[in-house]
Amino acid sequence: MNEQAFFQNIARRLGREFPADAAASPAGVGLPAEEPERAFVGAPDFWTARQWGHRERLENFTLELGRLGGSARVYATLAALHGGLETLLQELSAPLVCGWGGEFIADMQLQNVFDSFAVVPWDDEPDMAEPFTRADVGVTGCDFAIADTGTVVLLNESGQGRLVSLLPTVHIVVLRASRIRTSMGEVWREIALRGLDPVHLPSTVIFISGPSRSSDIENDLTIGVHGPAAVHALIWDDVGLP
Amino acid sequence: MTGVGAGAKDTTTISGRSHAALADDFLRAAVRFTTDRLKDRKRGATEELGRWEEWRERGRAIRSHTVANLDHYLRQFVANARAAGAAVHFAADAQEASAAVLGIVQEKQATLVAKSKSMVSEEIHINSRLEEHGVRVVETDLGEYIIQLAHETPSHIIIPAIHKTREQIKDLFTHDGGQDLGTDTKALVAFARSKLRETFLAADIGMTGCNFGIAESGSVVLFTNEGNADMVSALPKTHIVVMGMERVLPTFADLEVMANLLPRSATGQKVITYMSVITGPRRAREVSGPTELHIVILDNGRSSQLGDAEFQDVLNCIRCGACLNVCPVYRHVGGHAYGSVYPGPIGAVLTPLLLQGEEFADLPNASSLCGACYEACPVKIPLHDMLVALRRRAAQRKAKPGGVRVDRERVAWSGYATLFAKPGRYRLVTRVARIVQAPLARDGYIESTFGPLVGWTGSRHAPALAPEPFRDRFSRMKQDVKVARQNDGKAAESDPR
Repeated sequence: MNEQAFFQNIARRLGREFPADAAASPAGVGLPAEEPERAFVGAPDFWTARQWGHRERLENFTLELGRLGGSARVYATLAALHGGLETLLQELSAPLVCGWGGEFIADMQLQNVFDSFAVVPWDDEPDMAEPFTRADVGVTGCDFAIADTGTVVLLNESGQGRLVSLLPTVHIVVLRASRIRTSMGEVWREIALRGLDPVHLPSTVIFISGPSRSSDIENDLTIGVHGPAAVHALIWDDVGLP
Repeated sequence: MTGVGAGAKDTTTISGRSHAALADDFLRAAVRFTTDRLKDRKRGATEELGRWEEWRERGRAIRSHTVANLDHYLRQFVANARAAGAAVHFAADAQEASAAVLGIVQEKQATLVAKSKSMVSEEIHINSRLEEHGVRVVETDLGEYIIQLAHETPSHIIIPAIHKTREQIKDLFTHDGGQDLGTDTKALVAFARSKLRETFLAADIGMTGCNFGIAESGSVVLFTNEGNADMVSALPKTHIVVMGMERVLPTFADLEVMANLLPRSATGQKVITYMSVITGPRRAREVSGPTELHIVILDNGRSSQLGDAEFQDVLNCIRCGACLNVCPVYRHVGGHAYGSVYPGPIGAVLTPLLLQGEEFADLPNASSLCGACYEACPVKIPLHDMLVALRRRAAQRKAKPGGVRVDRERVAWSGYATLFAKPGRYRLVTRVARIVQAPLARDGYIESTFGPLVGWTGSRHAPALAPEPFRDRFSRMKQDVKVARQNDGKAAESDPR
């Protein structure tokens, strides 16, 4: 259907005029000039006004991820976290491990661990996706985590390939405790600060809460339908306040 | 839901289809079990969150505001989605939408389409359209995959294969290439996982619906528990989104409210496992993800609800299915009896509104008007009021002035008015009725599969008229009371204290 006519019909039904030439350009409708008035935006005040401390956020995130069937471990130092990651990878004894590349490896100082387990990093080479379709374990960081729901938030961009957290059977997330926010709304406010235009907002922002699940067969809950069957969070408590 | 016998095999009415459903014991037990469970889990999840009514009210306000300003927010969504590199298509009806999808599929010379669960794609019957043109379409949501193998349609918005047993599922999977499968859920799921993984990797095109479109960024938001929408939108080279035109939210802040309301209302989960926010196709610096993103925006009767004070709010719906789980009618007959893409109370309202005409005009009758659907709705759609309004409209259509059709109901009511207007007539009528009912009444109830009241008595008891009318009993009682008072008076006189 013609774009102009589609919008005109909507506006007319709502008792308004749609600007006659709004969709006339080959690029289609442009942005509308002014915003409609709104009494409020987003969640109720009692929700957004909550102020959780560092310890409360960390404990709640750990608890909630556990309730979803995932696991979370907290380490006081980065070295201890590396030890934890090595132990976990040994236990899993996976033939093929892949991971985020780029800044993530440097930021969490993972080069040694990645080397000793021959982890295939996401290095943004064309046609590099193939090993990722066979990987058993994917190691990623996360840009944010959410204490309310045990969620990790991954902004997929260069170095941070989306397939790393999606295709393997086990997903390991390595994160700093200082990345944990109280609610989803807080995360969106920070993402919006960087800009919601296509240059600043990546093509995919994914919110992952525990392992993949389904109850489609006689209501019987099962884990690991399409996405990972296990989600482990290894948290470096980089704030360390009591 | 009246009539037995002749209507039993009629599949063109909800009444006829309901009889088939009511005869299926497994279906009834499965639907009851599942809906009970979803309902209980929802209660737990909403109590844990707290201040649920405030959340509902906020959800309603956001959706109502968006729908009332849809020209603005949809325009903003479209402009931003294009700026991020998406191609946007507009479809006035199902035919135009499926033509748009087919056009993209043919241009890409695609032979395999992987799909994640989407009610709107059911609405435009895209699978059969593509298959007619030699394109294979594979449903990847576990429940949808099961019913696709069974060549059926979803019977619940959230749990499409609610009516299938694990034995049936095992047989379907075995037919699809599974070997030595037990009926164990884990084994069945493992088969589906490996089978569908091949599909994800081989598909030329991924097709999804759209839970929410975010106006301020032009993003498409998808909710799944299995992760299949992520596979479908990440692996194939082309991603097609089919969205109802009302699926827009102004901001990400508003998305937080829906992310709290939707999973709790749908399955009683505190949070959905995967919420994926997709803005345009892959960027130049990215090496994976689709190179093309197409968004097909569908009207298909939705715009006709705009500006209609009685029905505009039906566009608030976020497709959670909570109204199905609490509906006493849905719980008995299941989804297929509705004969439409959308079952339950929302289907009984939405279907006749979207598809004008007589085919689904009887759906609003499939309700007891108890209002449980409104209580359950996370965005407070007054479904029970809408059901009444739809019935009124259907009655008005029938009773057009000058119509030759004799409406039995109208005759009955005018007869009632005439007979009950005068006490003498009333007494005469009830006296006659008491004689007529005698052979049918038993223990104070009438149960009959024939006669003028069969619409009621065919499937329920009707109370019989009492053997002695109240008026007669009252005048007798008045006499008794008078005598008793006189006796009391005498007794008091004879008491010296």
